[in-house]
Amino acid sequence: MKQSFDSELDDIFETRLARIPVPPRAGPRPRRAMGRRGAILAALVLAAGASGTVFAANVSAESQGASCADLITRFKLLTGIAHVTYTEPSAADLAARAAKIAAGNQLPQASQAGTDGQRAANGASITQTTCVMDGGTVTVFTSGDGIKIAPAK
Amino acid sequence: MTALRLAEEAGSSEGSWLGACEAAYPKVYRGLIASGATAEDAADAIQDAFEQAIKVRVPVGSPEGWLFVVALRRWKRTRWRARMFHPLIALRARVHTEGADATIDLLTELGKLTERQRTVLVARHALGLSQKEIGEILGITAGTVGAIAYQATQTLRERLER
Repeated sequence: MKQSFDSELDDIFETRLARIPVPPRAGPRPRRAMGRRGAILAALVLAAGASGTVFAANVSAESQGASCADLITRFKLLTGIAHVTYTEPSAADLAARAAKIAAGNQLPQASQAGTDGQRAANGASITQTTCVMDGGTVTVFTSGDGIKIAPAK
Repeated sequence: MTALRLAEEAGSSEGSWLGACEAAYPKVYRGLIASGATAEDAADAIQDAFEQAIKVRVPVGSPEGWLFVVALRRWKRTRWRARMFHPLIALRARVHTEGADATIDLLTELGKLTERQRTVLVARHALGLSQKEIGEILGITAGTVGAIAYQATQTLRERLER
Protein backbone atom coordinates (compact mmCIF):
# COMPACT_ATOMS: atom_id res chain seq x y z
CA MET A 1 0.00 0.00 0.00
CA LYS A 2 2.79 2.32 1.06
CA GLN A 3 4.87 1.39 -1.99
CA SER A 4 1.91 1.98 -4.30
CA PHE A 5 1.32 5.42 -2.86
CA ASP A 6 5.05 6.14 -3.25
CA SER A 7 4.88 5.34 -6.93
CA GLU A 8 1.64 7.28 -7.15
CA LEU A 9 3.41 10.22 -5.52
CA ASP A 10 6.21 9.87 -8.06
CA ASP A 11 3.63 10.23 -10.82
CA ILE A 12 1.96 13.19 -9.11
CA PHE A 13 5.31 14.92 -8.77
CA GLU A 14 6.22 14.20 -12.36
CA THR A 15 2.91 15.46 -13.68
CA ARG A 16 2.89 18.60 -11.56
CA LEU A 17 6.52 19.52 -12.03
CA ALA A 18 6.36 18.93 -15.78
CA ARG A 19 3.99 21.90 -15.92
CA ILE A 20 6.71 24.21 -14.63
CA PRO A 21 8.56 25.76 -17.57
CA VAL A 22 12.33 25.66 -17.19
CA PRO A 23 14.05 28.81 -18.47
CA PRO A 24 17.49 28.55 -20.10
CA ARG A 25 20.24 28.70 -17.55
CA ALA A 26 21.21 32.28 -16.74
CA GLY A 27 24.77 33.37 -17.35
CA PRO A 28 27.03 34.92 -14.73
CA ARG A 29 25.62 38.08 -13.25
CA PRO A 30 27.98 41.03 -13.09
CA ARG A 31 25.55 43.01 -10.95
CA ARG A 32 26.49 41.09 -7.83
CA ALA A 33 30.18 42.00 -8.22
CA MET A 34 29.13 45.59 -8.90
CA GLY A 35 26.94 45.58 -5.81
CA ARG A 36 29.75 44.21 -3.67
CA ARG A 37 32.13 46.85 -5.01
CA GLY A 38 29.53 49.52 -4.32
CA ALA A 39 29.06 48.28 -0.77
CA ILE A 40 32.82 48.33 -0.16
CA LEU A 41 33.04 51.85 -1.60
CA ALA A 42 30.13 53.02 0.58
CA ALA A 43 31.75 51.48 3.66
CA LEU A 44 35.03 53.22 2.87
CA VAL A 45 33.31 56.57 2.34
CA LEU A 46 31.41 56.11 5.59
CA ALA A 47 34.58 55.21 7.50
CA ALA A 48 36.43 58.18 6.00
CA GLY A 49 33.54 60.50 6.89
CA ALA A 50 33.39 59.21 10.45
CA SER A 51 37.13 59.56 11.02
CA GLY A 52 37.03 63.01 9.40
CA THR A 53 34.27 64.12 11.75
CA VAL A 54 36.19 62.85 14.77
CA PHE A 55 39.30 64.63 13.53
CA ALA A 56 37.32 67.87 13.05
CA ALA A 57 35.86 67.57 16.55
CA ASN A 58 39.33 67.07 18.02
CA VAL A 59 40.77 70.03 16.11
CA SER A 60 37.83 72.22 17.09
CA ALA A 61 38.12 71.31 20.78
CA GLU A 62 41.89 71.78 20.84
CA SER A 63 41.70 75.13 19.08
CA GLN A 64 39.30 76.28 21.79
CA GLY A 65 41.62 75.02 24.53
CA ALA A 66 39.21 72.31 25.61
CA SER A 67 41.31 69.34 24.59
CA CYS A 68 40.57 67.81 27.97
CA ALA A 69 36.91 67.46 27.08
CA ASP A 70 35.50 64.01 26.34
CA LEU A 71 34.43 62.93 22.85
CA ILE A 72 30.77 63.81 23.26
CA THR A 73 31.64 67.27 24.58
CA ARG A 74 33.99 67.73 21.62
CA PHE A 75 31.14 67.00 19.25
CA LYS A 76 28.98 69.46 21.18
CA LEU A 77 31.71 72.08 20.81
CA LEU A 78 31.98 71.31 17.10
CA THR A 79 28.26 71.68 16.53
CA GLY A 80 27.99 74.75 18.75
CA ILE A 81 25.75 73.13 21.36
CA ALA A 82 28.38 73.73 24.06
CA HIS A 83 30.59 76.79 24.56
CA VAL A 84 33.90 77.34 26.24
CA THR A 85 34.48 79.89 28.97
CA TYR A 86 37.96 80.63 30.22
CA THR A 87 38.56 81.19 33.92
CA GLU A 88 41.71 82.15 35.76
CA PRO A 89 41.77 80.15 38.97
CA SER A 90 41.98 82.14 42.16
CA ALA A 91 44.99 81.90 44.45
CA ALA A 92 42.94 79.83 46.87
CA ASP A 93 41.97 77.42 44.04
CA LEU A 94 45.59 77.06 42.99
CA ALA A 95 46.70 76.46 46.55
CA ALA A 96 43.97 73.86 47.05
CA ARG A 97 44.90 72.11 43.81
CA ALA A 98 48.57 72.18 44.68
CA ALA A 99 47.81 70.69 48.07
CA LYS A 100 45.73 67.95 46.48
CA ILE A 101 48.45 67.09 43.99
CA ALA A 102 51.05 67.08 46.74
CA ALA A 103 48.86 64.62 48.59
CA GLY A 104 48.94 62.38 45.53
CA ASN A 105 45.41 63.05 44.33
CA GLN A 106 44.28 64.12 40.94
CA LEU A 107 43.35 67.67 40.19
CA PRO A 108 39.98 68.66 41.63
CA GLN A 109 37.30 68.11 39.12
CA ALA A 110 33.56 68.22 38.94
CA SER A 111 31.63 65.39 37.36
CA GLN A 112 32.23 64.94 33.63
CA ALA A 113 35.55 66.71 33.88
CA GLY A 114 38.82 65.60 32.38
CA THR A 115 42.45 66.65 32.67
CA ASP A 116 44.72 67.65 29.88
CA GLY A 117 48.04 65.91 29.96
CA GLN A 118 49.58 63.78 32.67
CA ARG A 119 49.01 64.10 36.38
CA ALA A 120 51.69 66.39 37.73
CA ALA A 121 54.49 64.55 39.43
CA ASN A 122 55.86 65.79 42.70
CA GLY A 123 58.23 68.66 42.18
CA ALA A 124 56.92 69.49 38.71
CA SER A 125 55.11 72.67 37.88
CA ILE A 126 51.46 72.47 36.91
CA THR A 127 51.22 73.12 33.21
CA GLN A 128 47.91 71.48 32.58
CA THR A 129 44.41 72.81 32.23
CA THR A 130 41.28 71.41 33.71
CA CYS A 131 37.89 71.77 32.12
CA VAL A 132 34.56 71.20 33.71
CA MET A 133 31.46 70.40 31.72
CA ASP A 134 28.40 71.96 33.24
CA GLY A 135 25.32 71.88 31.06
CA GLY A 136 26.18 73.68 27.84
CA THR A 137 29.32 75.31 29.13
CA VAL A 138 32.84 73.97 29.24
CA THR A 139 34.88 75.93 31.77
CA VAL A 140 38.58 75.83 31.00
CA PHE A 141 40.88 76.77 33.84
CA THR A 142 43.92 78.33 32.33
CA SER A 143 47.44 77.23 33.04
CA GLY A 144 48.66 77.21 36.63
CA ASP A 145 52.31 77.75 35.73
CA GLY A 146 54.55 78.66 38.56
CA ILE A 147 53.06 76.46 41.20
CA LYS A 148 55.69 74.14 42.46
CA ILE A 149 54.72 70.97 44.20
CA ALA A 150 56.81 70.11 47.16
CA PRO A 151 58.48 66.73 46.80
CA ALA A 152 56.98 63.98 48.91
CA LYS A 153 58.75 63.37 52.19
CA MET B 1 53.77 11.57 -18.71
CA THR B 2 51.90 10.33 -15.66
CA ALA B 3 51.24 13.88 -14.54
CA LEU B 4 49.90 14.70 -17.98
CA ARG B 5 47.56 11.71 -17.88
CA LEU B 6 46.40 12.64 -14.38
CA ALA B 7 45.72 16.19 -15.54
CA GLU B 8 43.76 14.86 -18.53
CA GLU B 9 41.75 12.57 -16.27
CA ALA B 10 41.11 15.42 -13.87
CA GLY B 11 40.01 17.59 -16.77
CA SER B 12 37.69 14.95 -18.16
CA SER B 13 36.21 14.18 -14.72
CA GLU B 14 35.76 17.91 -14.19
CA GLY B 15 34.08 18.15 -17.57
CA SER B 16 31.81 15.23 -16.84
CA TRP B 17 31.02 16.71 -13.41
CA LEU B 18 29.98 20.01 -14.92
CA GLY B 19 28.12 18.15 -17.68
CA ALA B 20 26.23 16.16 -15.07
CA CYS B 21 25.38 19.39 -13.25
CA GLU B 22 24.11 20.88 -16.53
CA ALA B 23 21.99 17.78 -17.13
CA ALA B 24 20.54 18.02 -13.62
CA TYR B 25 19.52 21.66 -14.09
CA PRO B 26 15.83 21.13 -15.08
CA LYS B 27 15.23 18.67 -12.24
CA VAL B 28 16.90 20.89 -9.67
CA TYR B 29 15.08 23.98 -10.96
CA ARG B 30 11.72 22.24 -10.61
CA GLY B 31 12.75 20.89 -7.22
CA LEU B 32 13.46 24.41 -6.01
CA ILE B 33 10.10 25.63 -7.31
CA ALA B 34 8.45 22.72 -5.49
CA SER B 35 10.33 23.78 -2.36
CA GLY B 36 8.70 27.22 -2.59
CA ALA B 37 11.20 29.35 -4.51
CA THR B 38 10.04 31.83 -7.12
CA ALA B 39 11.23 31.35 -10.70
CA GLU B 40 13.73 34.19 -10.38
CA ASP B 41 15.05 33.02 -7.01
CA ALA B 42 15.41 29.45 -8.28
CA ALA B 43 17.37 30.59 -11.35
CA ASP B 44 19.61 32.79 -9.20
CA ALA B 45 20.22 30.05 -6.63
CA ILE B 46 21.12 27.51 -9.31
CA GLN B 47 23.48 30.00 -10.93
CA ASP B 48 25.22 30.42 -7.58
CA ALA B 49 25.36 26.66 -7.18
CA PHE B 50 26.95 26.33 -10.65
CA GLU B 51 29.58 28.89 -9.71
CA GLN B 52 30.25 26.83 -6.61
CA ALA B 53 30.40 23.66 -8.72
CA ILE B 54 33.09 25.25 -10.92
CA LYS B 55 35.06 26.25 -7.82
CA VAL B 56 34.71 22.90 -6.07
CA ARG B 57 35.77 20.76 -9.09
CA VAL B 58 35.35 17.63 -7.00
CA PRO B 59 32.85 15.20 -8.49
CA VAL B 60 30.46 13.75 -5.92
CA GLY B 61 28.21 10.70 -6.16
CA SER B 62 25.02 12.53 -6.95
CA PRO B 63 25.41 15.79 -8.92
CA GLU B 64 21.69 16.57 -8.81
CA GLY B 65 21.63 16.05 -5.03
CA TRP B 66 24.70 18.21 -4.52
CA LEU B 67 23.38 20.94 -6.81
CA PHE B 68 19.96 20.84 -5.15
CA VAL B 69 21.32 21.19 -1.63
CA VAL B 70 23.75 23.97 -2.54
CA ALA B 71 21.07 25.85 -4.49
CA LEU B 72 18.58 25.33 -1.66
CA ARG B 73 21.02 26.82 0.86
CA ARG B 74 21.70 29.77 -1.43
CA TRP B 75 18.01 30.36 -1.88
CA LYS B 76 17.36 30.19 1.87
CA ARG B 77 20.15 32.68 2.46
CA THR B 78 18.73 35.01 -0.19
CA ARG B 79 15.26 34.64 1.29
CA TRP B 80 16.55 35.44 4.76
CA ARG B 81 18.39 38.50 3.43
CA ALA B 82 15.29 39.64 1.54
CA ARG B 83 13.17 39.29 4.68
CA MET B 84 15.71 41.29 6.66
CA PHE B 85 16.33 44.13 4.23
CA HIS B 86 13.21 44.19 2.03
CA PRO B 87 10.34 42.97 4.23
CA LEU B 88 7.62 44.52 2.07
CA ILE B 89 8.95 43.04 -1.17
CA ALA B 90 9.30 39.62 0.48
CA LEU B 91 5.72 39.83 1.76
CA ARG B 92 4.42 40.83 -1.68
CA ALA B 93 6.30 37.94 -3.31
CA ARG B 94 4.83 35.55 -0.75
CA VAL B 95 1.28 36.70 -1.39
CA HIS B 96 1.90 36.44 -5.14
CA THR B 97 3.31 32.91 -4.80
CA GLU B 98 0.42 31.79 -2.62
CA GLY B 99 -2.02 33.06 -5.20
CA ALA B 100 -0.20 31.27 -8.00
CA ASP B 101 0.00 28.03 -6.07
CA ALA B 102 -3.72 27.92 -5.42
CA THR B 103 -4.22 26.23 -8.80
CA ILE B 104 -1.56 23.59 -8.16
CA ASP B 105 -2.54 21.27 -5.35
CA LEU B 106 0.76 19.51 -4.88
CA LEU B 107 2.80 22.69 -4.49
CA THR B 108 0.25 24.15 -2.08
CA GLU B 109 0.25 21.00 0.03
CA LEU B 110 4.05 20.79 -0.05
CA GLY B 111 4.15 24.35 1.24
CA LYS B 112 2.21 23.26 4.33
CA LEU B 113 4.82 20.67 5.32
CA THR B 114 7.86 21.49 7.43
CA GLU B 115 10.96 22.60 5.55
CA ARG B 116 12.81 19.36 6.21
CA GLN B 117 9.86 17.21 5.18
CA ARG B 118 9.50 19.23 2.00
CA THR B 119 13.21 18.93 1.20
CA VAL B 120 13.20 15.18 1.71
CA LEU B 121 10.08 14.65 -0.39
CA VAL B 122 11.34 16.85 -3.22
CA ALA B 123 14.74 15.14 -3.18
CA ARG B 124 13.07 11.76 -3.25
CA HIS B 125 10.29 12.27 -5.75
CA ALA B 126 11.42 15.18 -7.90
CA LEU B 127 15.13 14.34 -8.08
CA GLY B 128 14.76 10.59 -7.63
CA LEU B 129 17.45 10.28 -4.95
CA SER B 130 17.67 7.26 -2.66
CA GLN B 131 17.34 7.53 1.14
CA LYS B 132 21.07 6.97 1.47
CA GLU B 133 21.89 9.76 -0.99
CA ILE B 134 19.45 12.14 0.70
CA GLY B 135 20.99 11.30 4.07
CA GLU B 136 24.48 12.02 2.73
CA ILE B 137 23.62 15.39 1.24
CA LEU B 138 21.56 16.53 4.22
CA GLY B 139 24.01 15.15 6.79
CA ILE B 140 21.49 12.83 8.46
CA THR B 141 21.17 9.05 8.62
CA ALA B 142 19.19 7.06 6.10
CA GLY B 143 16.91 5.92 8.92
CA THR B 144 16.05 9.51 9.80
CA VAL B 145 15.38 10.23 6.13
CA GLY B 146 13.05 7.23 6.04
CA ALA B 147 11.17 8.41 9.13
CA ILE B 148 10.81 11.96 7.80
CA ALA B 149 9.72 10.68 4.39
CA TYR B 150 7.17 8.36 5.99
CA GLN B 151 5.60 11.12 8.11
CA ALA B 152 5.58 13.57 5.21
CA THR B 153 4.09 11.02 2.83
CA GLN B 154 1.33 10.18 5.30
CA THR B 155 0.49 13.86 5.79
CA LEU B 156 0.55 14.52 2.06
CA ARG B 157 -1.55 11.47 1.33
CA GLU B 158 -4.22 12.53 3.82
CA ARG B 159 -4.35 15.99 2.32
CA LEU B 160 -4.31 14.93 -1.31
CA GLU B 161 -6.97 12.24 -0.82
CA ARG B 162 -9.24 14.56 1.10
